Amino acid sequence: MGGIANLAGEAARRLLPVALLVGLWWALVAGLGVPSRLMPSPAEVGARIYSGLVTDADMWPHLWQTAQATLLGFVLGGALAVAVGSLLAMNRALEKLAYPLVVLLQAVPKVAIAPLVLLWAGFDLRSTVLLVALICFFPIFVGTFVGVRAAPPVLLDLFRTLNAGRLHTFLHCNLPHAAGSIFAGLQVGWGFALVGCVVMEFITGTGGAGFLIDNSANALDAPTAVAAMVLLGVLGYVGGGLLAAARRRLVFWEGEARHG
Amino acid sequence: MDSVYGRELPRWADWALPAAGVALLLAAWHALAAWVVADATLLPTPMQMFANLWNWVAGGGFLPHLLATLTGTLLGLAIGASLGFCAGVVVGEVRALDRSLYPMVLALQAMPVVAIAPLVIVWFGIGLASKVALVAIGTFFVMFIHTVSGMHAAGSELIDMCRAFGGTRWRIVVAVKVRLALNYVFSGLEVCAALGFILCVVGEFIAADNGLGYYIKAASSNIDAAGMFAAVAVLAALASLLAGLVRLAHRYVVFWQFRKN
Repeated sequence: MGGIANLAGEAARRLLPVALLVGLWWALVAGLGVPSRLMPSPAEVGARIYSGLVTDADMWPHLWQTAQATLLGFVLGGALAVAVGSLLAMNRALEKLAYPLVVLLQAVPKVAIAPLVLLWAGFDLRSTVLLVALICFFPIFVGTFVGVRAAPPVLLDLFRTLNAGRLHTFLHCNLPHAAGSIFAGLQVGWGFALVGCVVMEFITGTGGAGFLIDNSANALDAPTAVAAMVLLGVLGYVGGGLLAAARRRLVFWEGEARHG
Repeated sequence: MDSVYGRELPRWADWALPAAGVALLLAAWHALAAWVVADATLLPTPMQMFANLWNWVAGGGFLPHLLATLTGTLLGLAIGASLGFCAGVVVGEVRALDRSLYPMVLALQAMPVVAIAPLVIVWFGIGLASKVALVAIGTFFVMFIHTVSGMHAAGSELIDMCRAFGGTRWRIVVAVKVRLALNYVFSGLEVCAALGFILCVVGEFIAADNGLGYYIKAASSNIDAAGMFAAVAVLAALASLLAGLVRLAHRYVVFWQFRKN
C-alpha cells in the first residue's frame, strides 16, 4: 500500500509542473485572446498531435527521420568527444597543441555553417548526422575534460605512490571522477544534437520534425508547428530521461544522497 | 615535475605549442583548399578568406553588422545567464523544486530553442529585442542545468562543519555550496558564450536588417563561400574572445583550484 502511494505521489510530483505549465499556457492564450495562428491553445495542439500520431499518422515518418539522424550524430559526436576530451586532459602537450583547434570548434557557430555542410555532404542523412555530431561535440568534450582534470590531487598522489601507470590511473581514478561531469555534458549535448538536427532539416527541407515546423509555420499552420515542437520536446525528454537514469545507475555516489 | 597529466611543460611551451597548432591547422586548410578541393566556391584558402574580410572591413560595411550581433548576444547572455544561475541555486537547494522543476526544465531545454525562433520573431519583432529574447531563453536553460548539476555534486564535510557552527541553510548555500558548484557554473558559462552567438545568428537568419547572421545568409544566397567564411571567422573570433574572458574569470574566481600544489 505504502509503495503504491509513494509511486502515485512520485508520478504526481513529476506531472504537476507539466500540468501547471499547460494550465498557464491555456490561461494566457484564452485570457489574452491570442489568435491561433500566433499561438494555438493546448487543446488545438493536443488534437493535432492525436491526428498526427493516430488518425492520420502523418507525423511518424518525420519523427523517425529526426530520431535516427539525431541518435547517429549524437553517438558519433559523443564518442569522439569523450575520447578526445580524455586524451587532451591526460596529456598537457597535446592539450596545448590542440588548443587552437578546440577553440575553433567551440567558437565557430556550428549552426551558421549548416549551409556549408550541406554543400559538402549533400541532401541526405549524412549532412544532418555530420552537423549533429559537430554541434553536440563541444559540451561533452568540456564535461569530459573538466571532469578528468578535477580528480583530487591527493588520490592522484596515492596512485603515484602505489606506482600505478598513467592508463591505470586514468581508468580507475580520473574517469570515474569525471563520470558526473561527462553525464552533465551528455545531457546538454543531447539538447544541442536536436538543435543541429532541426536546423539542418530547416535547410534541407526533405523531411523530419524541423521540416514539419518550418513548412507549417510558413503556411501559418501554428498548431502543426507547435505540435511538432512538443513532439521534439518529448523526443528530447525521453533521451534526457534515459541519460539521467543511466547517470543515477552509473554515478550512484553523486547527487541525491546529500539532499535535505 | 611529472604528473599523470604528462610532463610539466617549460614556460615557452605555453605559447609555442598553441602557435604550432595554429600553423599546422592553417597549413592543412591551405593544402586542402588549394590542392585537394581546388574550388573557391566550395572552400576558400585562408588567404582568400582574409582578403575578403579585409575588403569588407575597409569598405565600411562591417561595423553595423558587428555591433548588431554583439549587442544582441551580450545583452541576452547577461539576462539569461544571471537568471539561470540564480534559479539554479534556488532549485538545486530546495528539494521539492528540484524534484518538480528539474525534469521539466530538462524536457523544455531538450525542445530546441532554435525551433521557436520564428515564434519569438513574431512576438518581439525583427529588431534587437527578438535576438536578445532568443539568446536569453537559450542561455537560461544551459546555465540553469549546469548550476543545478553543480549543486547536486556539492557534497562536502565543509557543509557539515558549517552546520555544526550554526550556519543557517542559506548561509551554507552561499558560503559553501555555490562555491563548490563553481566549476560546473563556469563550464556552463563557457558553453553559453558559444551558444549565445549561435542563437543570435539564427535569429538574424530568420528576420533582421543587419547583423553577421544576416550577412552570412546574404552571402550564401550569392554562393560567396569566401564571404561566408569571413563572417564565420569574425563570429569565431568574437566567441573565442568571450570564452577567453570566461576562462580568465574562472581562474580569478575559483583561484584555490588553480594554485600549484
